[in-house]
Amino acid sequence: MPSERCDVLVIGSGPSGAIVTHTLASRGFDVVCLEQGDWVNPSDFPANQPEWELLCEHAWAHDPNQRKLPADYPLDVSASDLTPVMFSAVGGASLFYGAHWLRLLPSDFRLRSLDGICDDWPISYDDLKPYHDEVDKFIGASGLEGDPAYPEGLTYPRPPHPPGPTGLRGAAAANELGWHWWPGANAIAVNKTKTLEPCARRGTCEWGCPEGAKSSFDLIYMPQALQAGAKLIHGARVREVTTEPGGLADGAIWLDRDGVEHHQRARVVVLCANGIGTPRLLLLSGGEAHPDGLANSSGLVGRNLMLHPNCLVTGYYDDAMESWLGPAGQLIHSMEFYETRPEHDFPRGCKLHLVPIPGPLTTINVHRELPFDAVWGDSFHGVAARHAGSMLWAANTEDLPEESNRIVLDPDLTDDLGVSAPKVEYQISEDNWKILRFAVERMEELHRVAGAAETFAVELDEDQPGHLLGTARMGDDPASSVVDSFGRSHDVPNLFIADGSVFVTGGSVNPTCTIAAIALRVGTHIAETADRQPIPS
Amino acid sequence: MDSSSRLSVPELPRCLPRELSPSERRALAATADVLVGTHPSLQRPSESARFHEALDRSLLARIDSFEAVVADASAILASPRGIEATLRELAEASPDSFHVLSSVLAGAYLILPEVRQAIGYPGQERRFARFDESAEQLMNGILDPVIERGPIFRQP
Ligand SMILES: Cc1cc2nc3c(=O)[nH]c(=O)nc-3n(C[C@H](O)[C@H](O)[C@H](O)COP(=O)(O)OP(=O)(O)OC[C@H]3O[C@@H](n4cnc5c(N)ncnc54)[C@H](O)[C@@H]3O)c2cc1C
Ligand code: SF4
Repeated sequence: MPSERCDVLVIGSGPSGAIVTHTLASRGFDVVCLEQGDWVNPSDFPANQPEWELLCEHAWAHDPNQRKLPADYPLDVSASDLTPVMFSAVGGASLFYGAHWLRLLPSDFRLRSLDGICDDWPISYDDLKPYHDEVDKFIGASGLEGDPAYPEGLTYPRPPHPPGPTGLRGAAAANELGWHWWPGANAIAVNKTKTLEPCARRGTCEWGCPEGAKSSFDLIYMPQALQAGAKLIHGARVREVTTEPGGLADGAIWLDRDGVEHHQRARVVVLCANGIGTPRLLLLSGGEAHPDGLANSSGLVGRNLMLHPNCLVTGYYDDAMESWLGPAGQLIHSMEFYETRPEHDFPRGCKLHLVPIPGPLTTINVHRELPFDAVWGDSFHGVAARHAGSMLWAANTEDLPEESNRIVLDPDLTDDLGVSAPKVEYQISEDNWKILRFAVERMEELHRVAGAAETFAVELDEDQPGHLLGTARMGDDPASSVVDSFGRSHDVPNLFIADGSVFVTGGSVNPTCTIAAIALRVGTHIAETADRQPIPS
Repeated sequence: MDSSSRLSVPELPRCLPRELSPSERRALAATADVLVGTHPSLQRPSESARFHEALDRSLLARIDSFEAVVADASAILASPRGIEATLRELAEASPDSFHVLSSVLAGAYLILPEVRQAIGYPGQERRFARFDESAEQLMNGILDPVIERGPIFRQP
């Protein structure tokens, strides 16, 4: 069914899609956003129920292969060291994210210049700064200015959340070790901010915020985009970006829940389907003229996947510290080991964060590695009571781009509408393993100095690579990149990408703050260059 | 395809797919008794009517494993080797089955308000921060060593 042609078609309604949709709709463009999921209400989230921890094990699992909701597509992870996690809904994975909200550092954009590895980004820290500032203001990001891990000028519109007893304990340990720490920066409302409610510190942020306090982008940006006149079609799974004979994108074919095909025509198409969904769509598109997929003359679509492998150490203390008190969110973060250091036998490093542990079943699960008698039977109440004195240090580690880490189309697996599913081919590099082990040792040290009675380390957290980056990288040279620094495809000049796919390197801060700034920059550029934009006839 | 159903929210049934038989209930409660041991001021799961209400919630939350959990508990109760020995064997031989069984039973027990009180966990409560709470915690010199050290980032 053909549609009216819109000015801009946005595919995906997560943080990047919501920001692009808002940016263009509020400037008067006719914008349609297609999203395969639908709306979730804060009252739907599992944390509204006392058995929420059990609900999160399966029905609300982070892993789409587990929860298998109608909105999800499956991932073939048989050739991957990690199972990427995500969420498909209006607002995308931000419904599940922890809202840790840190920018990349200046060095992140210059790895070739500084360390002789990878490639420099075509943009710098300063290029993104105004866009960061604008997004932070819009969502009321919370944090404390003056973080010495960053250049001067990083301010937050709202104060930080209180670190609470666990955050302060971790901070005191970092002080004793002489390490950097700073009050956590979070995209979580400290007080009422536009369409966001104040945080009630329930600490269940990573399974949906029942208060509507976290900046998930169905609650901020998308409501304002709709108010500005954007049209959101949910339950719309895009199967293919279409092109006209001249090679320009002219819209997308999407399937509704009954499998009926629709064609949304557009002057400009912006992909915001994340670092896995976007390359999947490009590989699905282009028809016979592009057997390797659309916008793929470089051969790099799907390649250089980065996932930030996570590791963690849970510590149990003899004092009760109200360990469930949110947000989670990060209570404090440490950038002590973020940068390349001459004394390390690996390049780059990791970002550490201290987070609360919301429920007692988690504490039972953490102890499962102990012998039966140390957890069950007469030990049970003692273990469960340790929950009140627990805290978690976790780390994102930097995985450098490698072409062999990639997304391809699975030859057999499809989603429930018959569209080819992505296959993830991803191996953790030896350098990355070194960072993981190093980070575990540092987090053990933090707990030890803080007086932990026992610690439990997980060298590779299987539930956390929700950071999906690098699979359609930006660059100035069409031979070695997919899009330019404004997200415009080198091959198809009215096709843009505004999500984490465009990262050249991944840093080790959580990426959404940067994704949001990039999306605002892409959206603004589309608006500002609209009079020169080639469009299909 | 039912286009009225929700796409991004799991639609869990409101009640169990079938009535549990008295012997199945007994098996689940007896297995829970062994898993959570005894506490001087708390009723054992098999003695607590509230445990059975909580158990229904837990079983619904893991409806994907409902039959497997019930079958495992029934087999454990029926085993001539006794509940504890059979549970230990399950934990060794089939950790995934043991995980879901023990999560459902421990999870049900941990929902009970008296259990939460005994372990010092209030449940996820709404605790809005006072307006001056973060200033009070941070503006007392705790950040001084970090600030005194100065910038730590590399400037390209
Ligand atoms: C458990 C978890 C914790 C996280 N914690 C943090 C954190 O603390 N801080 C942080 O910075 N980041 C965090 N992240 C990552 C963060 O959620 C993502 O970086 C962010 O959501 C990416 O935004 P996006 O718009 O690029 O993509 P997404 O949010 O993934 O949105 C993409 C949207 O596109 C839709 N889509 C995909 N394909 C199609 C198609 N073919 N047709 C129609 N629609 C489609 C999807 O349904 C989805 O809604 C976390 C992620 C998870 C899962
Ligand atoms: S801690 Fe705050 S943001 Fe997180 S779930 Fe609770 S209310 Fe929401």
